[in-house]
Amino acid sequence: MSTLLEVNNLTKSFRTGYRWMIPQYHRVLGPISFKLEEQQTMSVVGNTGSGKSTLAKILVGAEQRTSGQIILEGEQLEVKNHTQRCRAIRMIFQDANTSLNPRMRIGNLLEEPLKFATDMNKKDREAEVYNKLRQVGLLPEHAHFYPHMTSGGQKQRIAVARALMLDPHIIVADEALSVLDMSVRSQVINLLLKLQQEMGLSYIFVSHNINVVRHISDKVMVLDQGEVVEFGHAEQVFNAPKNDYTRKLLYTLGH
Amino acid sequence: MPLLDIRNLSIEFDSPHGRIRAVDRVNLSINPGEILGLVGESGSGKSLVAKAIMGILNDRWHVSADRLRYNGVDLLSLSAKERRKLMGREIAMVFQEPKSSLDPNDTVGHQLHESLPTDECKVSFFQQKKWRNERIRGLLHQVGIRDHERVMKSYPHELSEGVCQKVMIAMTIAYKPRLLIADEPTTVIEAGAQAQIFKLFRKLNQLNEVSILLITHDLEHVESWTESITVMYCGQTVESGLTKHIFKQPFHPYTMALLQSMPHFDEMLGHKSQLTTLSGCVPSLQHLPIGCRLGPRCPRAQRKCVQVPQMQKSRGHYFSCHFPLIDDEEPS
Repeated sequence: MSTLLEVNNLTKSFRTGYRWMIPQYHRVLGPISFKLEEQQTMSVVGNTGSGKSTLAKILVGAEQRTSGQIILEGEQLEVKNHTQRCRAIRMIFQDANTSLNPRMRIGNLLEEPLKFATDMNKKDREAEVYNKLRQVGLLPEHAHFYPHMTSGGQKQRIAVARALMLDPHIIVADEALSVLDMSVRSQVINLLLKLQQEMGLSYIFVSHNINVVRHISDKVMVLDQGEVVEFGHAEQVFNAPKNDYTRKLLYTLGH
Repeated sequence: MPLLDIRNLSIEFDSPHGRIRAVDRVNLSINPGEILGLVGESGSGKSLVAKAIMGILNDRWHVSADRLRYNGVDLLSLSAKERRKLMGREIAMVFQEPKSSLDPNDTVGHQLHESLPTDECKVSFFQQKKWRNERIRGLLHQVGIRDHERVMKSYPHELSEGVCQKVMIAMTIAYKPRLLIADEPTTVIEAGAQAQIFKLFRKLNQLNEVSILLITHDLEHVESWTESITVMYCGQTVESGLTKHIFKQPFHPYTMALLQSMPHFDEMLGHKSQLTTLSGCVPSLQHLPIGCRLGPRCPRAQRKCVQVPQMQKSRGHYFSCHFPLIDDEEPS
């Protein structure tokens, strides 16, 4: 297996103000280094304010890093190069109900990334949309629906389809499963696992449902106040946590 | 005698397609000092049941029941005034999103002031403020907020969701209710604080003998915090019984599917293997199937399922299914 994503000494700081005209910074994340291999799933767990959402946002390029490197397949990802980034790494958002534009048909919603990032003609784009809809277990007819006409589980499937649109290598899911109902959640988990096997995707999961994390992930990273407390194989971390913080977290999250 | 006794509660509303029955003959009973979990997916009508108990449904909804008794008093025959009196004093409700239920224009301390009972204050007018402040401090300590000074001075947006929820609980227990209805108290709260809220409920239950109706959409939450649960699907009661019995041997295919759909690690389940799940999704209210509403999604459904199954009882464990998951041989 080859290394797909390599992150070296990634940090993020926010400016908190000035003291004697000198800007003051507060570091919320890092330094973080990890490697992710093809067809692997990495999960990020931690309490609120531990910087797990910030990490996800930096990886997809929704936020800018302060320092560090992100290397994807031997190629360095620039801070501001969005076309390069959005093809390789895409994101599933927390709440599909609010992240889909209610005034656009699902077909147009899914077509949008193709319009911006590729030079396909209209016919090809349409074919691609139908193809992706079929892949996530919906029908091509759903392209003519508006988001409110579908159910919660279908909406999350559409969100997955949108993430798949540019054939990415990595999908970042920020709490994508926590708002779903029980029976729908297992359907979406099954879908994600199936897509991983078929397309060789890698996932980065941000979640606090320990049982789900344990089921789907190969590697687990535990964050506390922006720093990596523990990083290793999932079974190892859950069965024999080395760090006190990890133990406490596993206990409070009901394990 | 049960504290709350509900038999065949139906809640209907008029739509352009005729009258739709959103909640169909639900039975519930809560004994004094019991924690009952009401579990169901979104759209299963569990919040409607809670609102019907409180009497805060608006006029579009038609509530009918064979029996809706609180402590021997029939709630449906009470006048609005009598009911309102009962509502704040004896039955209290904790709502889903604490931040949107608190007044954003007012400090938390002042809102707690307003929620204190007026007739309990026995001191003279000049000492009232001191008495109230002490009372509020006591309430906040009771729900596990230690820095009461800061919390009382701050506005709801300055506090985290977990603390807001604790403040809401402090407000509800000011009147020392006998029944507390918690409508999805932990859905918007971060995972670490969820356990705290549940622990707080259990503490209230044990120390003050408050009965709690815990409404949630996640079966995982209720397993360790409730004594008995009722599972609802699309407005119908599917199964009810003691928590440990249901988790050990569910009789209804729906409960079984829910239990199997969450990955457990005491069972042998292959890493990254596909989970068992029900096909399809929850039907909308306009397109409810006839008979057993699980019918089209149920793996065991047969022709008989177009009739609504009767509630059956087996060893203190109620279920409504024509083809329950019971082994054919009689247990010895």
